[in-house]
Amino acid sequence: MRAPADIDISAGETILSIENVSLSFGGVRAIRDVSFDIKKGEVRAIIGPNGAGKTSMLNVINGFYHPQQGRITFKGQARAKMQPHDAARGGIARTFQNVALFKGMSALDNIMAGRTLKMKRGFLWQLLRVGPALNEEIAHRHRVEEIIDFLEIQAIRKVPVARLPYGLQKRVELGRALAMEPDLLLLDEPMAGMNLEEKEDMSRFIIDVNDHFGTTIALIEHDMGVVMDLSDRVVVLDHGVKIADGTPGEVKSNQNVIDAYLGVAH
Amino acid sequence: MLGRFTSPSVRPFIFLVAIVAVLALIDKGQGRFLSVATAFSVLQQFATIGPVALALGLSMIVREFDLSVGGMLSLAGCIAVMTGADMVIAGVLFATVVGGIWGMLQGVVMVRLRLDSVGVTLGGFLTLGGLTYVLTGNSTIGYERMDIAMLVNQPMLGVFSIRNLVAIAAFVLAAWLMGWTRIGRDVVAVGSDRRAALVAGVGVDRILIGVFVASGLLTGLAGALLSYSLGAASPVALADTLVPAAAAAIIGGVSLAGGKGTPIGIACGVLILAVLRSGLTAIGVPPFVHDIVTGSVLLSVALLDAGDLERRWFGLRRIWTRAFTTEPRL
Repeated sequence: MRAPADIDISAGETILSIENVSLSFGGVRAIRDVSFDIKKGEVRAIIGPNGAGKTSMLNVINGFYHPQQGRITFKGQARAKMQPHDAARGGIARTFQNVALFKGMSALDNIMAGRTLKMKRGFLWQLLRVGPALNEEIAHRHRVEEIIDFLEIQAIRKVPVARLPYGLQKRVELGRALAMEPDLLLLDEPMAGMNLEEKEDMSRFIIDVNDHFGTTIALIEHDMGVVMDLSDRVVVLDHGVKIADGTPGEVKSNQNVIDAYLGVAH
Repeated sequence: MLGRFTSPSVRPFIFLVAIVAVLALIDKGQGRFLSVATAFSVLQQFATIGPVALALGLSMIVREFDLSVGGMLSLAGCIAVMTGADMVIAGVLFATVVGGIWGMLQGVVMVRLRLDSVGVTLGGFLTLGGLTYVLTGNSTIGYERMDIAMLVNQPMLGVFSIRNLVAIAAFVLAAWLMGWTRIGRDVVAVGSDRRAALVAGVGVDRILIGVFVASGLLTGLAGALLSYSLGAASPVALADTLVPAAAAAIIGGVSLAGGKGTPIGIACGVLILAVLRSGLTAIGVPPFVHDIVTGSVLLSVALLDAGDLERRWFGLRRIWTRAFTTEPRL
């Protein structure tokens, strides 16, 4: 099955729409009848208190979880079920709340792994490692070096990622996602556990990615200040239900949001 | 300093060199250990354990275990001996293909039903063992072609034989694939962090099935050649390769946690075991001591892998220097 990677959507049009999605694990309803959309080229934040269903939402978008109800349309194609591998092929990349990297590999190899899908040459060509397969590897390597320059991690490109500090690991993980040249980039708490300086760096990279490559970004974040600065539109979840949706300014003054964050009894 | 020597990627080589040096020293130049005959014997053992260790090791790199290798070695041996009397090559091919098909079956069952490999392949191990008993009627089956048995083990250039050259070729091919191609990177990625591999678009299921197919092919091939060389196939003889193969993989730097290890490291691990066995025999150490020595090497590797070791080592050194410093402490 080939995902439709070549459907053209211009900036401002809807790239992903979530309609009436519900997800439950056994008796626990993680997401209840949530609808929202993401427009091409924007930075969309999903926020909410702990246990609001933010990460579940991200897992639904990239195919880790399959919702019991609702419809997801990505680049004009509705789908019932999708595997993470298909999501990756279709142009959805993501990072995780707790960094998911290949620990023994260098930063460079980790980012190269993000190019896997772009490489076309088959098994036998790779076995021989001549001609087209080698040229392909070199071309991709070139692209990866550009990403390394962009993220300012030249100095650590050969270092096994397990030895890097947390902030840099997060940056390498972002690099691997960028290497996929995604149409939609999902970031699960990209600044969790970072100090102020690292947070500022990461914010700058997120803005730069959005500006330079025009990548559509959906991010989950706890730090309200960061969210308000970064995002174009914000959707707020609480206990699996959408309680607000709009620009940072609108959301900030929404009474439901204030209640949810201050912990008013339900 | 300690870190560099204990790094799993370098350690197997250091161990191998150290063991050869120690055995050579013990031998004191009497030519019992450093001889062509010992080298040939080492490579012959390499041919027996090597492919199985590589098969198991590859499955460990993707963070699974193919325990069925022990059973497959016996079954492949029987198949080869029973079908290969007239057509020698066909017997080997047949056994290898059966190995590959079995590997694929196991892989597909695991991937589709999301099962743990230990359960599936332990079941496979028992099933294959049982099949071998049925096929052979619980007795040793002789291979009628003694000429082939001789040919497979015939020394060439002193230390090589057809059988050990096939094993060496398998390792060279695996090292090439793992070290130089995207497939190798994908295999390590799957073992290292499956979630990250999934979102990077690595075909995790395909890699897993592929590794189990490779494991079956390797074991099938090794079993066929081994039974040819022994001139017989028996249901009991080959089932105990699992333990040395696992030991070789671990000594060779394959991590039980997945995502670490290389075919060259595994080859080193196998050579360490083989050198110990042949070397100790050559200098006249009784066989029961072999297991103690091998066990000690494995234990020391496990100790070196313990994450806390380096910290404790530094702690010890601090206490040591403090105890023996005469200058007044401020």
